[in-house]
Amino acid sequence: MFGARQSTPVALFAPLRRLVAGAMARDLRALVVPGADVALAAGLDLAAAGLALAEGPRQANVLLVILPLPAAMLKAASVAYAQMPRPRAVLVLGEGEITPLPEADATGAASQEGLEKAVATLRRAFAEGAFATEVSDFDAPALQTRIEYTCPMHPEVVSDEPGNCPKCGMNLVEAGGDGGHEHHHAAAQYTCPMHPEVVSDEPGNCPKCGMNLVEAEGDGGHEHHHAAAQYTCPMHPEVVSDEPGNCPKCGMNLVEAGGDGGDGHHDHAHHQHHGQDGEDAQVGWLERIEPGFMSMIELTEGTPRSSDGLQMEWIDVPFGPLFPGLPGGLTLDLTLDGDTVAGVQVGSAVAEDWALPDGGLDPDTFVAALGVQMRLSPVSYRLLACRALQAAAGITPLPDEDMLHDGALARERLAERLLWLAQMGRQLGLPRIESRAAGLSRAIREAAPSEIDALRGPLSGLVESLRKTPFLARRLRGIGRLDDQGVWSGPGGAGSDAATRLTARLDGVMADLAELKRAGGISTPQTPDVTGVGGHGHATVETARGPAHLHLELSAGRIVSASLDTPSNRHLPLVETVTCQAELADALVAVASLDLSPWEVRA
Amino acid sequence: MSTLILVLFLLLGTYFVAVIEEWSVTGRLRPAGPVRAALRLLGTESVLARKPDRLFFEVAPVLLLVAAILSLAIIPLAPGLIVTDLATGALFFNAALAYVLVALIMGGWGPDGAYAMIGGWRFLGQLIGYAMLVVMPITAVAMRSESLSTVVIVQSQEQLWNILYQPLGFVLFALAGMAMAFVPPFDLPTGAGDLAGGVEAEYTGVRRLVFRLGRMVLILSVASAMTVFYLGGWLGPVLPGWAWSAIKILVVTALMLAAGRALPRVREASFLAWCWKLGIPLALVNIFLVGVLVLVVPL
Repeated sequence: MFGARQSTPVALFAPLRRLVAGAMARDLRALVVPGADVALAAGLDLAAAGLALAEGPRQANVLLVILPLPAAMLKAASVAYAQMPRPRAVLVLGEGEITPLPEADATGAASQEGLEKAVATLRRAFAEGAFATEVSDFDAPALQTRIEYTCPMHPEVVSDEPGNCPKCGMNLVEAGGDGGHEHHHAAAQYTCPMHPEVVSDEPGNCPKCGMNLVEAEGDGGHEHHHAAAQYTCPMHPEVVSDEPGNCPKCGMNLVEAGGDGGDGHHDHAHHQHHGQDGEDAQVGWLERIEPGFMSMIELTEGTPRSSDGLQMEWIDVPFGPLFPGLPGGLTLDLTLDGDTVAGVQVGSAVAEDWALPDGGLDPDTFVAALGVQMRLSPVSYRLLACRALQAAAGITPLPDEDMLHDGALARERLAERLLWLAQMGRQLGLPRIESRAAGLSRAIREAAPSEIDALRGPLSGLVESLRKTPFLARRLRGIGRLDDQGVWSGPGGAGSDAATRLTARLDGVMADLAELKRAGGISTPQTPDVTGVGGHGHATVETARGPAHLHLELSAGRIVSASLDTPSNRHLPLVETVTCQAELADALVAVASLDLSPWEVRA
Repeated sequence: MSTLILVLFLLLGTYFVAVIEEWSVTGRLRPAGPVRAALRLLGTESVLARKPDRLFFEVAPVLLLVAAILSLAIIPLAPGLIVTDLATGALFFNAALAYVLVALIMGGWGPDGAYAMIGGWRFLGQLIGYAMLVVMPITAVAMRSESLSTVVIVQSQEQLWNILYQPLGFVLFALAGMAMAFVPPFDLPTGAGDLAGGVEAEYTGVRRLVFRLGRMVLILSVASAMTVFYLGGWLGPVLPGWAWSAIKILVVTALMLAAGRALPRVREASFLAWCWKLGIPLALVNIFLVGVLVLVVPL
């Protein structure tokens, strides 16, 4: 876990170390795996337990893991843990497997009480062990890259860390050919155009004549050009020389004579058209201006072209599964062209395959498993399963009980909408809205009808202040607009944009409150007794994200086939529609406005 | 003596800005918060990102801090209580803070990370929006005082503070100043929910501490400039001049940070549109109005 410094402790600094360790123990910042939304849905109040939310792994010193989690999510968590600066600790809530993460430094039950106890343990551990000299390293298995540093003069000196060479004091450099975006420089050798015997690893001036050194072509494929090359002045063709240099008449740099001026190429990263004479001839006139001249035409040759015709460097940037502005577990890989989204890959790191095991499942296990998987809306999906079972078994539900179940459904919808509002507040930088919505969501999730009545005031207050927040509607307007014939079945309906979806969700909050009043009470569903019964059944429940459908086949009291249709799974392809050619910030807002739950996505 | 007071102003000012900043996020006033956070960062490992541009990475936080401290040099806290009363003080403020952009771009490029890089370039876009709106209101302020010296600017407000004399200029300068200090809702380069920390994302330990310090001094500097240019600096009854300066600066800081937290983060595109389509014409109108006032009303 620990060890901020690997140096041997100096007695003089002991009081200072204690002070710093004490400060660390009181200022814990947590990165929540799979996400802050899941912590809220589990009823955890991190702030009350003394944990602040970190913006990213670099700012966190506690990795809070809420189990159970699938392997893909744990892998992402292990990468995040490797990025966290020491001293750092793992706090695990709940039961389950955590490999490849290191051993937990504190564990607890997935409840507020368990969290608070575990945080107290961590505090003690930080206060005592923040400067422990016995450091256990953590290498995330997902991160294969290992960088070694070596001395340019003494290749036998190899270190895992950058620093100075113990023999000559030079800065160590990265070993191996690939130095990332600079890699074409790493292999380059520079030479003087007039004095070929001058060879240097770094650009600079020739010690003999003071001319700028130019890059020498190291790779064999080009050397024959040099051998036969003649150099001429672009302005004075009568000037011909065997060596590169300047024209005696006008002082211009001499260029290689002949059609294939391939030696002007300078940047191997950007074009692969060496040897294609046709293309070279086209750009040849430009290269004759000056060897080594960085031509934009060449630099951008072959790079993809944006919709506006400009050519820019495209980068792939992963957002999620632990990105603070998106639901935890959602993976969004954006290809950015400048700051415009040129391509998108969306998925879920917490998705499960919904296939039933051979021989089917008994109804109790099925209902429980569905509740565990749908981490953000367990009640809705348990109710969905129970209703589908009733339908399959031909049981007619009691109207009174059904009403109470609708109450439970409305309560969860309410909690879910508030969860989304908290997420939106976080994404748009509205901390008041975020904390109010988060607090209400947590309070409502398990609240009794009377307690919800008491929360009516704060709830309508929140809705009111969201409607009145200046520039909020303007900020969202036009972002993430859906077309009219889409699969969208969530709030706002077809043709909605982020602003109308926000309004629809706010209306939904008030509608859910009214529904709760109508239901008159809340009761969570129990698995119906379907022993020995067979048949088909279908049920639909209205979740905060849209309707969810389940079709079940029962055979002798066991579920032999189930086909689940969740709103998030249906809406996932819309991500491409709403992010295409959007500015990055708008794209993220648009994705968030779809309110996708990665738990509802099928692997 | 005055050196001591100025150093104290810098230290205490930074501390109070940090307390207010935390209050604006969490809603709690915790006097020990900044000290604790600083100690935590001191003890935390300072991670060097993989394949960084070492020079940019190391220099950026220091440059931000130095630029912000330099810009404070022309802030008069009371008559005679100023580091240097430059004849071109108002211009110097702007010149020193031009390096904020350089620092953020270096900090964005340095760690070789996508979030940081996007944050850095975003701030370049932001500069194109706010840069003119910092200078043009200052022009109108200088027109009234007939000097660029910050001391003379404060003295020129003896009869009537600039916030009343040229309210339009104040609003524009306040918004541009907030954008320059990248406080919410203009925190595009560092937005938490947007870029997971952006430019600050890869900085940990001592480097991050320096970055945060630079940020706090920058906010202090912008609030001080608003006080000097528009709120009459040290002017006020009963209390000594330095006390008025301190009170005004703290109130401006609190208002600036609290207001920003009530608004959603602006869109880069609309920020530019607002600045150029509305802000700059208004700034010209402001210069014109102040020009007429200076000629007509001898205040």
